[in-house]
Amino acid sequence: MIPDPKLIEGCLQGKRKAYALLYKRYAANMLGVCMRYGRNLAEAEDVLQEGFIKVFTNLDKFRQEGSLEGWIRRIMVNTAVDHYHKQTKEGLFVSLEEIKDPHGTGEHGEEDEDLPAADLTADDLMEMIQRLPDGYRIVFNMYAIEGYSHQVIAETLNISVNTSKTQLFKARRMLRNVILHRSLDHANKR
Amino acid sequence: MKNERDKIDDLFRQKLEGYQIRPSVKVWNNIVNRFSLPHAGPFHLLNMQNIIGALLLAGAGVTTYLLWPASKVHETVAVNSMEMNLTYPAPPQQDLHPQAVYQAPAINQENSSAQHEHPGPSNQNSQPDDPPDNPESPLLATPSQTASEDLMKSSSSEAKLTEDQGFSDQPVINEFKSIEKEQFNNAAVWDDAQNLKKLSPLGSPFVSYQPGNASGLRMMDDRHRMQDERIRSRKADYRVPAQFSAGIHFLPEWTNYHTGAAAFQSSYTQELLASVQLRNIILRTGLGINRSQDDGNYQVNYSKYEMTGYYIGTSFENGGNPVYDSLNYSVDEHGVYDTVYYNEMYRTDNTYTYLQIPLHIGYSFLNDRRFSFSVTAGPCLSLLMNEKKSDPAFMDFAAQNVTMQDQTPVRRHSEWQFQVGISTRYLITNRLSIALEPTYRQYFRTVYEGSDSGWPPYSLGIRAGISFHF
Repeated sequence: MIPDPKLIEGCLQGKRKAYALLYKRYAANMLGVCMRYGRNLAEAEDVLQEGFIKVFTNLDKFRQEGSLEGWIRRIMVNTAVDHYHKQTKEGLFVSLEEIKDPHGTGEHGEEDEDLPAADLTADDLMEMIQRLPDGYRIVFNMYAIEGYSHQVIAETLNISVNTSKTQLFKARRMLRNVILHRSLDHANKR
Repeated sequence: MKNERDKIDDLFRQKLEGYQIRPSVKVWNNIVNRFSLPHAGPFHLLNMQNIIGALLLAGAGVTTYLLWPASKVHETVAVNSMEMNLTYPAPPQQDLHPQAVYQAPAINQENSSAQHEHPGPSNQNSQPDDPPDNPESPLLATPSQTASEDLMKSSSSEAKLTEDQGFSDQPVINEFKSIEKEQFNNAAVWDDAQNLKKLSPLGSPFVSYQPGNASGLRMMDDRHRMQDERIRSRKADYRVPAQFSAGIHFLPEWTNYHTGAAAFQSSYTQELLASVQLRNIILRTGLGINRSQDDGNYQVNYSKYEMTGYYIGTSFENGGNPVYDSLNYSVDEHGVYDTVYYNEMYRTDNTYTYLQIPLHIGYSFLNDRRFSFSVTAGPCLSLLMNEKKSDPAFMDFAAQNVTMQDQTPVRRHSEWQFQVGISTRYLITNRLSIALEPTYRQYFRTVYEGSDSGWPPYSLGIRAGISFHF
């Protein structure tokens, strides 16, 4: 396997095959990232396409201090955020009151219960994330999965730290409720 | 509460970290089109696969070269047998006329040329190295009988040859015969001559005519033994000579690319193939030009100012009567126009030209006088040389802001394929044959760049061609 620095060198020399190999190496992983930020596969592929164009364009700016995958992933996340900023002119982040709990469990549900998540697959969880409102989805992804701090999220999304925390709170609550309802549905079917 | 929240984070992080989905081919195509990736031309001379292909061709060429001379072994054997007789040492005590020494091999030349004209196992059996159980064999006859009979034959042959060759130095011939008669009256010399005759692979009667004493014949013994082994080994090759042939072939194929578009796309390959057959094994290689058809996909965006609906307008009139006691109502339909945006997909026909280098190994399992059947299989390197794309025929003149986006999958520059075929060959003449070969071609991966998922294509075709046999 050609190491990343060699691939980058090949790309910078304008070798088409190096570009293709770079894409081939990271495209599937990055589409997985984009899927978490998108509502569906078509949107995720749009983001992936934009992201890779940015990667190829800015490859000379990669300093090779961190991993190439991490760098590409950050570009994908930023591209996804930009994508939804452009799409929703009114802003991604809705107030707490505007979001209705789709399962109607309310804020004071069964919060102390254990999370019945044993039978959940990655596809199930991906579907749950994709159903979140755009702002919730992005903040939850950035905080819970990518590991960004609220400060970084706030700067990236141009929001306050409190808004970031609020969005995360709501996202978690919605996801939890969906998981609980799903387990109840399964139990009833049995 | 905080732990519960962390559990959700952990659950999603663990399950979705490393989540992978293979993107569709169009993503890479769009990147290529938008980023303007360097197009260094479809064919890269120093591409590793090209080098491997060139090495395969070179290997096939060397193999052909090594096998090729074997088809002329029968001529070499004939010449060699003549050389063998010509190099016999002259008798030390006799000073013969040079023409006398030359004439004797001329007799054997008849045998050699006859052997050349009628090659084959049956001819091998007819050579005089049969076991000495034939009562007419000269080995069982008495020395005087054999010598006299051979002399009779040789003298008549010599007379004919000397006349043909334009010299008739009869005294010299007579002198030569008298020397031979004298030699074969010596019993010791006869024993050595017998031994030598057994060793001689062609059983040449000339051996018995060689003048010389017993020691001279013993000296020749080792030399004959070596020549015998050489000739025997060549005889083995001679029985099954390698057959070299070259021909022009035409291979129409129908390829399933598994793209969900048209089920099968057609392609045509013109090939110049050379093959070598040694016993039942066939080695075949050459060059081919393949032209493949495939769909081109274009997304066409445009807008049109057109009627999107209608409304009913009502009007009335009183017919010029100043007294409005009656009104005539009329109802009209009016169109509502607006700019409508369209997004359509167009399919076009693209043609791709490939240089193909097959290397097939085959087995001939049935050989008739005219017909032969064989199975051939092997890899084929396919190099994209040219692609010809056609624009979509978008003819809506009312359309505005027309943009076309090429979403045709980008093809790889080189491909490895595996071909297998069952060939039927019919020999028209000794030199010409025609062949018909249903073939199956399996691609090792998809032909589109940036996509390793999905089923690799396969082709079905019939190779037809005419070959010349050397």
